[in-house]
Amino acid sequence: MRKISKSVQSRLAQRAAANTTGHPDANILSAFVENRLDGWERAVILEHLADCTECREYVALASARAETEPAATIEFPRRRFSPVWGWAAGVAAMICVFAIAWQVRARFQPTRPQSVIVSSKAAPPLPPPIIVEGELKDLKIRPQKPKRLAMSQRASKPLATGLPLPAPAAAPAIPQSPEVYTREPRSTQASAEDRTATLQLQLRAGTNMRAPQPLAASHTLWSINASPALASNARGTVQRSTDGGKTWDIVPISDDIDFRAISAMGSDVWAGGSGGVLFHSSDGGMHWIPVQVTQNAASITGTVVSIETRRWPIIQVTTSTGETWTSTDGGHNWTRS
Amino acid sequence: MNFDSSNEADRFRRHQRPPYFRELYEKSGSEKFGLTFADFTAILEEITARYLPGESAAAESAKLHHSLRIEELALARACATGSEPAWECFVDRYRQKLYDIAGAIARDESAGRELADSLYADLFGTQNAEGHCRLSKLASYTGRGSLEGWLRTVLAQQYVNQYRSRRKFVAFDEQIRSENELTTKQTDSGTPADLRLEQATDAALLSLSNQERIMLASYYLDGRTLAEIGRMLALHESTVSRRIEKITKILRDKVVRGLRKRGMSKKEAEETMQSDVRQLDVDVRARLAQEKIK
Repeated sequence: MRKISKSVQSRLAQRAAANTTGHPDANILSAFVENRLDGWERAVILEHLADCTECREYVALASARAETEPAATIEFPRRRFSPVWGWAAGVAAMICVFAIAWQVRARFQPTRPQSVIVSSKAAPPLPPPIIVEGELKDLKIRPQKPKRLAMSQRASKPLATGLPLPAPAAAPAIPQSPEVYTREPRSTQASAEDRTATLQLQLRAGTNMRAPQPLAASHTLWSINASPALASNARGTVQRSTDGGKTWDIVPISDDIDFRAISAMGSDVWAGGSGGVLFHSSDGGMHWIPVQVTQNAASITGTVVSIETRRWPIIQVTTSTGETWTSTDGGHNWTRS
Repeated sequence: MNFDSSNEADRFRRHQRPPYFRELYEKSGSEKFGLTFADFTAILEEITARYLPGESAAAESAKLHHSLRIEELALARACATGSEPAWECFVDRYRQKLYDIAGAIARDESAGRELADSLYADLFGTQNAEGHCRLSKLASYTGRGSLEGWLRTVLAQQYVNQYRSRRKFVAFDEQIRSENELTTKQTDSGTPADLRLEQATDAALLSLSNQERIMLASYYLDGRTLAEIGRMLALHESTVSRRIEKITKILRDKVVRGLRKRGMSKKEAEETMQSDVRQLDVDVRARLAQEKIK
């Protein structure tokens, strides 16, 4: 690592020695370590830590790992390769990964839920089981794993036996996933039992969504289920995945809002939608607070279609009416561009 | 607003209580620990008064209340009042964690156990002099962060306070040595150059962001490893390494520019930087090896 001069080091030490401001308590320091402070509070603590050796020590110790965890890797000075080769190798690797993933995706059913809200009986309690009877002459049943949100449109078509599934009702706030059955070509090796057996199947919709749990922000994926609506009252919803996108849960924020934009920065999540509505969660989606995007007498109009938080604490929100609103303090105050 | 009696004030306050308080109370599980709704409300009002100015907007208060770790807050405050069910729950969840955290902080199992046990007594609390109420450290927990994180920070503070005298002794020696060196330098090279160097260095440091100064101070002053700094600032170790490299690179350039702005020629500025012969030789390997031995 590059050296610094004695003058720089001594000035840093003198600034620390001269620091006489009050120290934040353990509550604020622990919230800082856990990245739970708002923009302005975090800025205040950063300013204090820059000049306070004592509090830096507390924060460093408080963020130490337990002995049982693997030790952090030690970084030694090493030769620096030209960054160009590094970037080129990285880009090439990413292209290969995407190409493989695309091939896999094309071959198998996509793991991301279709942008369709499952329609079933309206609300809890669970709907009664759907009994399907009929000959299996031309039908080979292969049930798929129930998915919380995914539903192929074929599920709404009648089975080969001619017995229709119940007509979809209005989309509930928390949809339930039915078993998905597909019709496959009749195998030439099909047994006599397959041809004549009568199968009684019970279909029961998926279980209720589990309540959202506090999650490690680094493992959480967010998305908006904003599909072309099957029903006129289908609305975009906020979804969250904690297993790399294999399964998704709807995050209930508001039933009346058609959500169209989502952005996450650590445990801070922002969701926006119709009516200029903007919601913020600072704990990974467990609790949500509506955010007033106003400036003097003016307020945001249109549907929020884009939220930019990469330059946090600068947040930028764009609406369907062409408005752009910017906050430079983590969402407390807004100005219209 | 003036009230004729404290009862009126209480009635007014109850009337002003936000409607979501009841929802938060139920979510917190306070009832099973023996905390009443009134107790819970008083806790939330105390926390509001601590973190928000007197006349804060309802939305701001709501945002604060909803951001709190309500279940842990109820548990901690119930423990502070001496609730047996709360203590059973606390011991079950946090006793082993306390020992693990203390061990990680002290980097020694026996020292860690001693540290954890001393804090445990403070958490359990003692009767005050009059013997009326319990004085427990858990009463100061406000739910801004997790209870585990708060315990980590309190343990860290306790550890530093316990071993501060030894650290101060070492730092004091270094302070004397560095002051002597600075005095010698001033005698040799004259005051004006040093003053301009000091001013240019100050200006260069002030131009850095707070996060950059934390990285610099943590690495070169406190002797923290890149991994430790990364954990402090929720950054990857490699990000910290790259930024420190960049900061130190531009810092020298800024100091030289600052010296030139204060009347030195380019040659004089470069010579001044070079004549600062007591450049720290920050040997990363040696210091990291020392950290491991500790």
